[in-house]
Amino acid sequence: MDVSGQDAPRSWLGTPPPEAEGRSSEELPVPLWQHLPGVLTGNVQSFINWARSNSIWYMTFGIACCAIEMMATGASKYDFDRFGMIPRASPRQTDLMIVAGTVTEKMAPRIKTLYEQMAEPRWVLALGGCASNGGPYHEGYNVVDGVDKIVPVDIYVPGCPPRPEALLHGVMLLQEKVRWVQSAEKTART
Amino acid sequence: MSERVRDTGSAAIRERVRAVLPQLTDDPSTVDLPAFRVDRTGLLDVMRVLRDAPECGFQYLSCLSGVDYPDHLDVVYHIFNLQNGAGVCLKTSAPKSDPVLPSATAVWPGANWHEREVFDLLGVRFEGHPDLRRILMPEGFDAGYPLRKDFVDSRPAKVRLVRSR
Ligand code: SF4
Repeated sequence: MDVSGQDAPRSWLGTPPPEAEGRSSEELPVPLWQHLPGVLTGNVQSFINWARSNSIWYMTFGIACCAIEMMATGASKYDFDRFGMIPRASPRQTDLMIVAGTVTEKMAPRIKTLYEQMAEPRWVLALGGCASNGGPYHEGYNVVDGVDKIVPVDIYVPGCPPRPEALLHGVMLLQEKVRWVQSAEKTART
Repeated sequence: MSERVRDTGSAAIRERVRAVLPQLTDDPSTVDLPAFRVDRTGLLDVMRVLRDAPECGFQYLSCLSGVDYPDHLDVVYHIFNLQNGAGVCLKTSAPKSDPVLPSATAVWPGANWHEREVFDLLGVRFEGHPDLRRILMPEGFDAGYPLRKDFVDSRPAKVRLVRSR
């Protein structure tokens, strides 16, 4: 990549300094790294965030019709792999839980258990209306009105079911979120 | 496959079942399969004959479902003969005041989970079932039988899985 350009890609290099707000790049002092072609400076956190955001492994786990769209997204046409998204069959190896489907009251404790088995940092994506707020089964006799009642959700993808493009957009939003993590570790939020 | 007869002649199937079980009454409300109605007292014997008699040979229970009517509960069995593809529909009913039926698991073991589902959602109790527990509703659900038309979810909102955080 061209590191001598005027507009450094922000997500590689962390937050711009506060004095950069509202000023064009000509007014700012030329940063040291721009004199050294081929050398990138940044902090370790940016590097970790970059690595994490491009290797989000998700749990092989689907609970209703939305899982079909998740499978379609993982298959060759939409190809999750190009985002570094690899399905893992064990929650202990995963970073992301895609809740793809209706959360019934019977399933809810199992989902919470799966979430608790995931290693931190971990993220949750609610795929579809059901996982977001109950969707078509809102206030059903056996339906939890959204998976956010039992686990914290990072990204909501609406739709019934959402198209694979929508899921990909949700995943890209999640990558953006992961890249902007500032602290050394994402704090536990259970 | 080609020599296997696909037996869909409803009239012929009806005749054959009639020959061994004259006590069954026709149920005209079902049109896709020959349908019979049977009283719950003789249900198990009828099932055994349907499975074992050479004229019938319905050894496969394809579906067992429950229906809620205003004054009674129906249980419907769809059974098939895998040799010739013939199938019949058997219906029985139980009053809501005493929703008890003999379990079909003694005849078709595959009825096990189907009966648990009918018990769970409609409240039919199957006598002789090896493990009659709720299957779809969560453990400890005690607000009634949700597929009954008069079901009202009386649980207070906080019992309905409030935030456990
Ligand atoms: S949102 Fe629609 S497609 Fe997705 S699980 Fe619910 S009902 Fe199925």
